Amino acid sequence: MPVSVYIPSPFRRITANRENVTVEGDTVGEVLDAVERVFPGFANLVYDADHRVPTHINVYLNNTEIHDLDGIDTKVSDGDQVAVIPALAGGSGESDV
Amino acid sequence: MSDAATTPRSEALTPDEVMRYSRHIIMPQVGPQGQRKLRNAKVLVIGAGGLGGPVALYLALAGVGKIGLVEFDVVDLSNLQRQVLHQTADVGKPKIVSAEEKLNAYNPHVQVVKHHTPITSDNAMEIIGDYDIVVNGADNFATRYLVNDACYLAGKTLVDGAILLFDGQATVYKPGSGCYRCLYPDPPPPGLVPSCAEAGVLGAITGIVGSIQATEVFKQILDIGNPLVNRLLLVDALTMEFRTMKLRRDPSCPLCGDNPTVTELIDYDAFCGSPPLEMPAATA
Repeated sequence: MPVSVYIPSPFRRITANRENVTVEGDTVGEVLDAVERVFPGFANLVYDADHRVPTHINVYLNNTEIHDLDGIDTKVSDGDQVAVIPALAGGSGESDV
Repeated sequence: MSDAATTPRSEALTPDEVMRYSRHIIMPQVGPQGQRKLRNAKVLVIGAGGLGGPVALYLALAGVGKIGLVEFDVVDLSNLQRQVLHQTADVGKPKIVSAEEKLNAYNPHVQVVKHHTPITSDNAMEIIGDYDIVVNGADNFATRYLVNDACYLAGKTLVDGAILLFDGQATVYKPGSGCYRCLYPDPPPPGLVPSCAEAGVLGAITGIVGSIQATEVFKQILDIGNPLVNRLLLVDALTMEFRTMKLRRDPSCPLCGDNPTVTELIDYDAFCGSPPLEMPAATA
C-alpha cells in the first residue's frame, strides 16, 4: 500500500531534494527498503552496518516513534506517513561552547 | 546592567518598566504579576551564537531579570550571516562581550552574567545551579549530552533547540518527563552528522527556532499555555511545515529511567568521540 516517507533536508541529497517520497510496503522496514530501491544510498543513512536503525536516528510512523510500536516490523496503512529524523547538533557557532 | 542591581525584585514595576513592557502587561496571561515573574527569572543560555542570540535577545527585550550566557568563542565574519547579537565591528571580539553590549543596549534593566568559559563536567553543575531554566544553543553533541545530564541531575528545565541546513528541532525537557537521552540514546559516530560549518544553515532558521525556544521559556516562567514537553517540534523551512512528534520518557534511559546508570557527569568528549574544546584567543 502507498506510504509517504518524509525526508528531512539533511537526507535530501540522496532523494534528489525531494521532501516526500511515496513507496509501497506493508511494514516500516519494507517502506524504508522501497525508498532504498528508488534512491540507492538511502539505507546507508538510516541503517548501521548491522542493518539496524542507529540510536541517533528516530523513525516515526505518523507522529509516534517506532520503538513505541513494533520497530521496523510495525505495520503501515494506506495513507500513513513515515518520517526519518536524525539528531541535529547545530546551534551556536562552530563547536564553540 | 543598571537598574536590576538596585531595584528590589519584589517591588512594584516602575513607570519606565510599565511603559517598556506595556504590550506584554496588557495581556491577561502576563499582567503586572507576570512581568514581575519575568523580572525575577534567572535563565541560562548555552551559546551566544545562532540560537542563543535570538533567545537572549528576546529574553532581554521581555525583561527577564538575570540572563546568563555561556560562551567562549570570538566573533568571526562567517557568524554574521545569522548571529543577530554580533555586528561587523565585533569581528575578533569575544562573543560574550559583544552579546552583553547588545543586550544591555536593548534593555539596561536586565542583568547579563558572563560565563566566559567552555561548559564542562567540572563547572556545569555550579553554573547551572544559579538559574531556574536552561536554554540549549550548543553546536556539538558532547555539550548537548552534558547540558542534558546536568539539567536533569540539577532538577532544571531544559529548553532545547537544534538546527542544520533548512531544518530545526525544539522541545522542552522537564525532569521526570524524558530527556535528550530518551530521544537520542547515543550520539552519532564522529563525523557522520555534519555541523553547520560543514553543511551550512539558513540564517533565518536560527531566528525561527530561537524564537520558539524563547517563547517556551516565557511559558515556563509565566506558567501559561501548553509547553513543548513530551513533544518534539520539527521545523522544515523549505516546505514551511511544522510537525510535532511524540516524545516520552524511556524507562530504560540510563539517566532518567527506572534504573539509572548515569548518576553524575561523565567525560562527554569520550562519550561522543569528539576532541575536547579549546578556547580561542580573542583578537580584539
